[in-house]
Amino acid sequence: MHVQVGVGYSLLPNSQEAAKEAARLAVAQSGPPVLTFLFTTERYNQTEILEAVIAETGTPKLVGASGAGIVTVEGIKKHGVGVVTIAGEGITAETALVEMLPDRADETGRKLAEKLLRGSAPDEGTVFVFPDGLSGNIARMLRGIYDVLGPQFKYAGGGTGDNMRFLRTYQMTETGVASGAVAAALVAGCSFATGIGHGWEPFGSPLLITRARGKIVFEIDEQPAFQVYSRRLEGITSEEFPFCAVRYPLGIPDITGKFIIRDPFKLGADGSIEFVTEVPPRAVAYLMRYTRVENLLQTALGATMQAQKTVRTPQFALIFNCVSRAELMGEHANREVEIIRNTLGGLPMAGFLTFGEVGSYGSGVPLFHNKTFLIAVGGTSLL
Amino acid sequence: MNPDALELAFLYEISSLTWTGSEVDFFDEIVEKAVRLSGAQRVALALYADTGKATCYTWGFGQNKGRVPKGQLKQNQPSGNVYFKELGSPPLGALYLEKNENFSDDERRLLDVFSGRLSNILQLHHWMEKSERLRERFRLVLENTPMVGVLSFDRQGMILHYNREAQQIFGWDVPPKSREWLVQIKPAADFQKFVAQVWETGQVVDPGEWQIQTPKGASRWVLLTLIPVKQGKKVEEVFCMVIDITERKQMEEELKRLSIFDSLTGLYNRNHFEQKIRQLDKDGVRPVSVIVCDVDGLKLVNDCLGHRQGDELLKQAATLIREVFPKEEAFRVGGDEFAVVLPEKNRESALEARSALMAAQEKYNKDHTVIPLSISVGVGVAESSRKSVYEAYKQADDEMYRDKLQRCAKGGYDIGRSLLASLFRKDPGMEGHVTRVKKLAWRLGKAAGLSADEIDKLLLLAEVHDIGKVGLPDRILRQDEPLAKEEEEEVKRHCEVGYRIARCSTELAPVAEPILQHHEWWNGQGYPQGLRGEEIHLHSRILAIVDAYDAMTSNRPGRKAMPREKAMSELKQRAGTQFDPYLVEVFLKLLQETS
Repeated sequence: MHVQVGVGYSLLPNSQEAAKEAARLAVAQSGPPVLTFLFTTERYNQTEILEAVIAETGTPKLVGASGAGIVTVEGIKKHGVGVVTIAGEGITAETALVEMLPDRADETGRKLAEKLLRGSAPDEGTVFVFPDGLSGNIARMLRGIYDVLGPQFKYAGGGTGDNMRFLRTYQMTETGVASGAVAAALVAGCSFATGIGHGWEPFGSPLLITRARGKIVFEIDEQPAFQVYSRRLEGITSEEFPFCAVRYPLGIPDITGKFIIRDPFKLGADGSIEFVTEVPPRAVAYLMRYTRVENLLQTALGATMQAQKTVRTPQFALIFNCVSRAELMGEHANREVEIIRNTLGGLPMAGFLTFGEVGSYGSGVPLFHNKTFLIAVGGTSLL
Repeated sequence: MNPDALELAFLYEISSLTWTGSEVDFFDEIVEKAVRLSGAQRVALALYADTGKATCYTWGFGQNKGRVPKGQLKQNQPSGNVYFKELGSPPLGALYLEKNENFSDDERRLLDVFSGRLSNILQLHHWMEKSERLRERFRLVLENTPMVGVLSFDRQGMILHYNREAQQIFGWDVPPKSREWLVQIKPAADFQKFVAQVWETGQVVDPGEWQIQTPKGASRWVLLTLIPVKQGKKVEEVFCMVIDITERKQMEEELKRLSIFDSLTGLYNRNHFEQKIRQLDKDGVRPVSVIVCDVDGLKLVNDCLGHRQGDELLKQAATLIREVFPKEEAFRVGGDEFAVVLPEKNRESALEARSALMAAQEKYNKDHTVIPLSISVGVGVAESSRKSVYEAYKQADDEMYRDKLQRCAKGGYDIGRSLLASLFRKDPGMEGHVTRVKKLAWRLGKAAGLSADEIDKLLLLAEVHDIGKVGLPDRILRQDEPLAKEEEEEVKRHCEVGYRIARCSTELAPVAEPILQHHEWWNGQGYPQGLRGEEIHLHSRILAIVDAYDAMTSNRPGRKAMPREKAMSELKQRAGTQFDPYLVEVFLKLLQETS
């Protein structure tokens, strides 16, 4: 079985032209695709882009996401359109686009998974999930997906984003463009291996999440959350919070000893802190930091190599990189792309800057991460 | 992260688990922790209800959902990629975890702690649910128990719980926020002591009768009990249960009253009289005088005017007795018999009292009633313990009877005459009418050839023929405005009423039948019996003519007298229909001779 992949991107400002250019480039490489990945940024008419890509590629199935930037072989682009087309005999794809139910995120996940299984459902494959990074309880939604699909599938993806204004993000399939939804694609016949890491390290003594509900942490160590957070960072003020929140997330350990990052997002009037995604109540957490950019680069490299070596014949890579990580790395973010490109030996690669990442450390159960680099290397089969 | 630190972190997280509020959320939290803390890829949680039914939550089984391999559902295996544990003893649930590699010993140890914690949570949740169900049942029962007011209060008297019935019984719009409600229960001082005793002893007290005064001043009788509720050995709360027994008490009072008082007159009844005289004998009170009064002619009034009039007469008699003897105990001891007991009064005093009673009767008859009151009275005295009060009563009764006989023999009372006198007092014009009618009746009787004896009866008839009108209201008697149909019927009944009165009077009995027939018509269209022709008593036929002639030729309220000739013409016209034609002819001839 041979996978044909096409990758294209465009930085043209016009939505249709950019879409056409990126799609044309991709489909020229892959031929008529079974599945198309579409990554966009702000300043475009998402519907026009979608329609143009579908028209240009003739793809029957498409899954797409907006982000704070697209990842290309030439680095991260703040504005652009990226297209990845996948073709090949034996490759099947199914997509689904479901609105996120505010109070029943797990139901959303189950509904999405059931839609992916309609028709002739494969026994294994890879599920790419692109939830709206601004809405709902994504971690619980992923548990809903997994509940239906189970451990025979792999999971990867990222939360859709915008240009850091946190206003509106977009999720797409061939059926249309949505916001506040989850888009997903189930791909079979093309194997993917994932690598994941963040490079942040714990510091200081542990914190006890004594009262939390969903994304909001009310109390740490039985005291108002921000009061403790501030104290741990030597008395930061609420004005300094946005600067510190990006740099000092919380990390929740798992069985492997690795930390799942949780980004603080905003302060509540009652001293609570809202995070980008759910924080497990009564968890033990640590403040996290990165000491050197090199650590971050090493992490990305390690994740890439990990994924690459698991695939028999790597043919392309999809990258889902946390926007805050990229922002902190600054110019080093493009260095990271270069390192990955070199590691992959020039394989086609594309992706976008995400608001949170979908992947697992070891158990295969998809978790939602922050500040994480995730790469999915695709090929014919796994080792 | 340091493995020991990691384990400590996990232990803290596990031991801090609590119930999340719903089974679904609880299971989701278990999944999150099981995945993160143990790498589980599949989780199942069974929860057992009291009914024996189990609810099973699963996660990660994908398209094999619900088909947890039975072979794996057994007690905790020492090794393997499955962890299974029943939660609690007796089990309240079971936990199943599975992953793609074996659980290590350390992981199993942590999972045992996890299971233990889940067991505790389920146990607590189970008890809380049970407690909540009991609480809810209690609340529903408390709220909706009909007729029984329930409230509870603390040591300071502050109300903790109450139901609608209690609110209604105590008359609250909203329950008071202080202990002031306690003084609503009377006697207040006694109740306070009662409450203090309950707090001290912690004993349930038997129900007792108390009175509650509502804020609006209404008074209610309640059956009340206090039930202390203890926490350990100390009383924490007292329940007060009340049932409104006001109606029952009122009925008891009424029964008691009926057992003592006569319902018609309001005086004490025979039963109480006998108790009284027995008590006087027992106490040795002497002298004791007894006055016995009997209402004369009651039977006649009942028969002639109806029992309503008879009852009215009795009530008037009782009122009179009450007025004359305000301080003494007066009794109705028979249908028309009353007794007054005068303790420590000798015969002289009793006779004075008797005289006062007679004087009051005279005054009463002068001022009041259509139906005169006549009372026969007797006096008896028990001067010493040799004579019982009952014997004094018998003596008085005998004396009363002798008084009655004497009055009858003297003819001192005849109801017929009394009623007639009353009628004339009510309608002064009637006496004049009667006088003229008598004269005319005499002349026509003579002309018709009646004997002297017959003429006497005719004159008597003329005098009393309208005696049946005695019970009519003044307005109807005066006939100064048109009568309604019912009033006309009432007037027509005066023939029958007069007939009954006459029959009850020795003197008037001979004219009873003519009284009854004096409005019959020759052609049978009169009333009350529709007699015709000579079926009608001759005296009635004579009376009808002279009565009509006088009515036509006299001034009446609202109507001037008719000229003589016109009245004669009327008589002539009605001869053969209303009047006896022969008698009309005789009468007209008489009148012509007179003119």
